Amino acid sequence: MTPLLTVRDLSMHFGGVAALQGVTFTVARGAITAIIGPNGAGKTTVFNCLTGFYAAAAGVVRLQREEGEIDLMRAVHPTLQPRDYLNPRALARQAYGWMTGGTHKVVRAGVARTFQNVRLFRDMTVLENLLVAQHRLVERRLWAGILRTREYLAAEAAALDRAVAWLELFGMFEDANRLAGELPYGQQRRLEIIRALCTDPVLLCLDEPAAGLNPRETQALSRMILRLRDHHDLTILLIEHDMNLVMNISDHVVVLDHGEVIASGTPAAMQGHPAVLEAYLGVAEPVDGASGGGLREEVVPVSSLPPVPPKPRPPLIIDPSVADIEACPP
Amino acid sequence: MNGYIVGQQVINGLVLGAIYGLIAVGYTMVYGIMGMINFAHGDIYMISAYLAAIFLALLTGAGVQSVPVALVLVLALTILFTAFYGWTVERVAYRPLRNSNRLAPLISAIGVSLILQNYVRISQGARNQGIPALIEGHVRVNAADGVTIGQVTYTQILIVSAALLSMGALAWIMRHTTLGRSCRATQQDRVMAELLGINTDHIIATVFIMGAAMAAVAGLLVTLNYGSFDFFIGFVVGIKAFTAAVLGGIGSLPGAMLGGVILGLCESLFSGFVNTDYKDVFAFAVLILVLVVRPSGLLGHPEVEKV
Repeated sequence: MTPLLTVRDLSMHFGGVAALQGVTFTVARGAITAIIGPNGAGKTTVFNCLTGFYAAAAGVVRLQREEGEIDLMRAVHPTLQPRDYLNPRALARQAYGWMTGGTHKVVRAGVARTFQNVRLFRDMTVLENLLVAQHRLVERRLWAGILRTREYLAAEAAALDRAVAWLELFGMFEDANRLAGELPYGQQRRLEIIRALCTDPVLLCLDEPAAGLNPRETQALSRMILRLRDHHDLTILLIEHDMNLVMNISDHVVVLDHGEVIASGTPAAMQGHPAVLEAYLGVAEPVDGASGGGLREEVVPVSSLPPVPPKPRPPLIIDPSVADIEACPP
Repeated sequence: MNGYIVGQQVINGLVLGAIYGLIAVGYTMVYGIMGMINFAHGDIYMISAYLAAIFLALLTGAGVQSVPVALVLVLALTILFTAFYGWTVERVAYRPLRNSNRLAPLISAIGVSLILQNYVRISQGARNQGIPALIEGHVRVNAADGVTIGQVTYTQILIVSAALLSMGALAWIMRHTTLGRSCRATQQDRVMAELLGINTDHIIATVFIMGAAMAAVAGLLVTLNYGSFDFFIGFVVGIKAFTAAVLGGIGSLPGAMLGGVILGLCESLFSGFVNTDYKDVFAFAVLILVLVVRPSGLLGHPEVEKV
């Protein structure tokens, strides 16, 4: 089965700093793929290239839809083909394309994304937030809205139904008419995901969805993500620092460091992968006395150490049953 | 204090304020969505005054006798053509600079303003143009004890009701249609709106068209009321309307209307009782006072830093 998303040789630099160098990975259809890596590894830059915020210096990003393959980067930042120089429309589109971008085209291709920080429309109600997300699905001509044509009303009713269905599914129906900015933080994050879902995507990109959530909310989040994969035919790509969440729910893990993919595979394989340990802990193998220090500077360079025989390393994840944070007195 | 003068100045102030409010809407909507001050908006208003006079002359030439029919047709044509001017200005002067430094569109706006002024000056001449009064007559306004406190011309009644009607229509569109909803979303977070599938270029173009349409209504009404205009009227009125938008809280539609009315009342009351020459000084002093007490304007939201 062909992967839903193929990223090949993606490169991006800001000035002289290479943010991404030849990043290559695939996202399987109907799976949860996690991108992990230390801070500054280029995870969010990958997302920004996928969703058209940055025009990548080189590389290919292809989305395999049923109706055909979509080259995401060309959809957002069109590049001229030789024959286009004779076509005034293509020239004009190009001229305005690089002036304005056009990340809305990514959404039309079927990719939705959230940000690390909450970016709801705070002065609009929960329901309005979800209706705005269905902009491309509803009748949006001004005249239809003023005259209340039958198509307009039918499309609005359908949009409302979809929004309510998602809200009910994730237990937020009671909050439908509250202002989004008034919701508690955890609910705001959940609403962001629901809003992304309302754009009717095939690929959902979540940038650190668990950031700032308490353990209970994180558990609810992982159930939500699993449910989306299992029952709603969605493919999910997520960036996450919460290793517990990543190891529990993801089917495939891609590890980035310094803008390069250093390893990829199943979560279990990644836990013991030497390159991953090196990136996170600064050493290929945990050495006695060094395993507790996660900081690179404090660790003795690997080359100066005598070879150490491999031995089982402590797991990166915390068993929730052991670390029962909820049970601790405040 | 003479009740007649107070009443009359309040009426004049409300009429002036309605005009300011209509133009201020264009400033406030563009600022709300792009964070940019469209200095060419006053000149769009000036163009609409010329367009209204031209269409009026054309319709009279074509033999339209009935004043209401002529006015409705002129209004529709003026809105259509002024909206086209607004759309063109956005397309040509602002869209190419969308992602550049914040100052670039501002300078471009000043350039557009000069271009429009000189384009009209060359094509229409620098002298005052005028149209004959179309609507004659007035009504007296009496207080409870039967003393006349002012008189309102039919044109003034038309101005205030047309202004209220078009602002109401705009507010309704923003509140109750899909397009308005997407406009509000784009205003709050353009990047996110784009990522939810909204073509924000279309939304911005629509906002310019709506702003220009409101200015067109103002242009026609002013032409009817004062009967004379020249290529430079856009500048002062534009600055006043911008002041009204800031006074009411830039970015807020009701704020623009409120700011317009307050500014109009300040101006006309001050010139009626104190001094006509210093009315602008007083109007701007009120603006400064309000900004000192409430930096975000009367109905504006305090600026939230977007991360």
